[in-house]
Amino acid sequence: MVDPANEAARKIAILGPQHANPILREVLDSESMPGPYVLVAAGWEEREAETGSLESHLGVSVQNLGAWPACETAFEKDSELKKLMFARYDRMRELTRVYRVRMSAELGALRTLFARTNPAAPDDLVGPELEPAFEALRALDDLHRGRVAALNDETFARAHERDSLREGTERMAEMLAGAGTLLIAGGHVGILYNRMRLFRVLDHLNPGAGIAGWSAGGMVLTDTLLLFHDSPPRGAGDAEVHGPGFGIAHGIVALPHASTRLHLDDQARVAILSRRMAPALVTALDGGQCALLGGAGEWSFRGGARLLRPGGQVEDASDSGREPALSPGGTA
Amino acid sequence: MNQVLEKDTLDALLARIVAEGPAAVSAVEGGFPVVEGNRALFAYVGHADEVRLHHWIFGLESAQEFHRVHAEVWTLEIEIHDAARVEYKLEVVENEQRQLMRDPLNDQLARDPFGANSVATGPGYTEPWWALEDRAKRHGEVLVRQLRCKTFGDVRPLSIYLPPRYRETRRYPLLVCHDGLDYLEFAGLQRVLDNLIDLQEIPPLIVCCTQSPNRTEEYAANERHAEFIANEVLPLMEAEFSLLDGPSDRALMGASFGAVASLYTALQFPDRFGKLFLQSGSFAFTDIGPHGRGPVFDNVVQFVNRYRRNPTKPATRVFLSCGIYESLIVYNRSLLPMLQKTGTEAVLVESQDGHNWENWRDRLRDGLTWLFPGPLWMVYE
Repeated sequence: MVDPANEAARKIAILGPQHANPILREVLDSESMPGPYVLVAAGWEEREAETGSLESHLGVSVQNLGAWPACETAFEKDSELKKLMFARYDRMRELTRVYRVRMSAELGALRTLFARTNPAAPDDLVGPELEPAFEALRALDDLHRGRVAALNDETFARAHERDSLREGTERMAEMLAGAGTLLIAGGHVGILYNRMRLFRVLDHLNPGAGIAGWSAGGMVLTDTLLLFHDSPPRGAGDAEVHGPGFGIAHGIVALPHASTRLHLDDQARVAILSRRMAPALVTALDGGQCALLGGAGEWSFRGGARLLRPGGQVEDASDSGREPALSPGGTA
Repeated sequence: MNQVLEKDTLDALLARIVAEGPAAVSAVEGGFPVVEGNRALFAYVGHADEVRLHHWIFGLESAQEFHRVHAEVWTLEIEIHDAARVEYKLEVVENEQRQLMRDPLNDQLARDPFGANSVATGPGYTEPWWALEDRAKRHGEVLVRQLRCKTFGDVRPLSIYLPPRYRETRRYPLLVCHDGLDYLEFAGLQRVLDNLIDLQEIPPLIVCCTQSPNRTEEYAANERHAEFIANEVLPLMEAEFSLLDGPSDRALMGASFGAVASLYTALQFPDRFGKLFLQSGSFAFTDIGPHGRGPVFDNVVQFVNRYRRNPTKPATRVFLSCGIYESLIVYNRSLLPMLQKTGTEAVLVESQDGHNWENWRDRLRDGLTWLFPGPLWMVYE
């Protein structure tokens, strides 16, 4: 597993979606993140090999790790590995169901409290109730993340013993050792995380290489895989912790597609999300926007990337200077 | 959608029709009925002694009389709800000959296994965008199988929907759909599945569409039918396709008697199906006296009466939908709290519609996304 302390020197860029307004090329140039560009696009699943439009945007070809088909091949050859990963999936679903029981209640309580006060300036009746309610929710999120982390550690340790993964891991390790920059595409955030973990992608990455991830590809670099959608076809739209990320982009929560997935004009929802994830910075990233982690351990923002503030405000962070990153210990 | 008029123009139109006759009707380019607010004006032009509008709205007289407003022009104004869909036919009587016909002034039709009806819609009704063909989206595949059926001693057709990019190395939830071939033909089930899967609103899932040659008997709380589904269809699907294990990823679905068959099968085999999608279920019962719905309902009423006396949990989740213009709405409203008391997570969605395939199509998104929430939450492209 990646040790965040060893990753401090890497240049890391977390970008919003790259469909309509791609800025990946521009960011790689401005941040001096050179090739060779090695791509992991396992979140695209069966479409992982479809790199044409990405290469066209970059103007160079990329080396595709092929983590998706490598995993499918391993599953076909190794029924024990497949069984192990399916068992993890089933256990994850059970853990999530249990987590949701309390989480939806805690979140509902917070929404009820915020409905009775001004999110930016809580009154003296409701105000003192808020922080204890947030503490309960944060503790629950931490508990769930910890339980999933333990499940992951056990599962992937056993998976790494399987011979069926060796060939793919070695092939990828060779590509990763020579990488100038690792590109991580978006897609299914759970599958992306799993494939990267199965083939130990970050463990084998050249220590001097930068990392640029967009959408889910940025989310996996952070401490927490937070799933969010304020207006799904059904349900209350309760953001939930899916599990741990790789934690090398420490102290930030990335929210790609923020404008379409979130009600950023809902002050209470913004305030709840911001305070729930504190002390991490919560950044909303749409097309054309990005967050950059510099060598000095500070986050800077571009293109209109926004920060969700505890009072419910959404601020354009691209003009506000640098925000200190959290140390791996978790304090600002 | 029917033509919607600005405020205060319907009366003017009616006045023109009274004054000018057929010419004023022909001048209305969008056809009839025309709708203004909650008023819908129907017209008929031709020789007739009487004209009536036949609809299937429970609670209203099923035949509404048109009035002759000109020598050969008849009109009728009815109230229409904002998001309503009303299927109807015209009954034209001339020289004591009665003819039931579709409205010649209305191009909007709804098809079903028995033909087609004319359709009137309120100003707020729109055909759901997620039910329309979208060639840009990936399409699933429908395989046709003939199942040699031991239970009934014949061969049953199965149409099996496989989602786009189906692969053996993944596992999928299963939905068994009664009257599934009709769902494919008349409710656009494949289009809906393709769209909702593409939108990540439901996961890629496998749908086994069954069809009965004798549904009023086999779907009417019939033990043999339940055995057929649980002991023949389900094992076939498990053997041939890569399915997720356990009842929480197995669902039954059906409309009308198909909903009865779904509920009955789930109760007969409580460990097999964890989710039910029941549309306009014919859950008729009697508190006292005969049910008055004809002999095909005898078994159904016995079953529902028995179930009402001793309700048990049929599944973890049950999604009910029903139109408020159906007489069945009473039974479905009654079933909801009964299911909830058993510990079932159940919801009922009502619509301003009737007992028809468009109504069932229009509720597919509600039901499928509730029963099978998709990876929308997991995908950040």
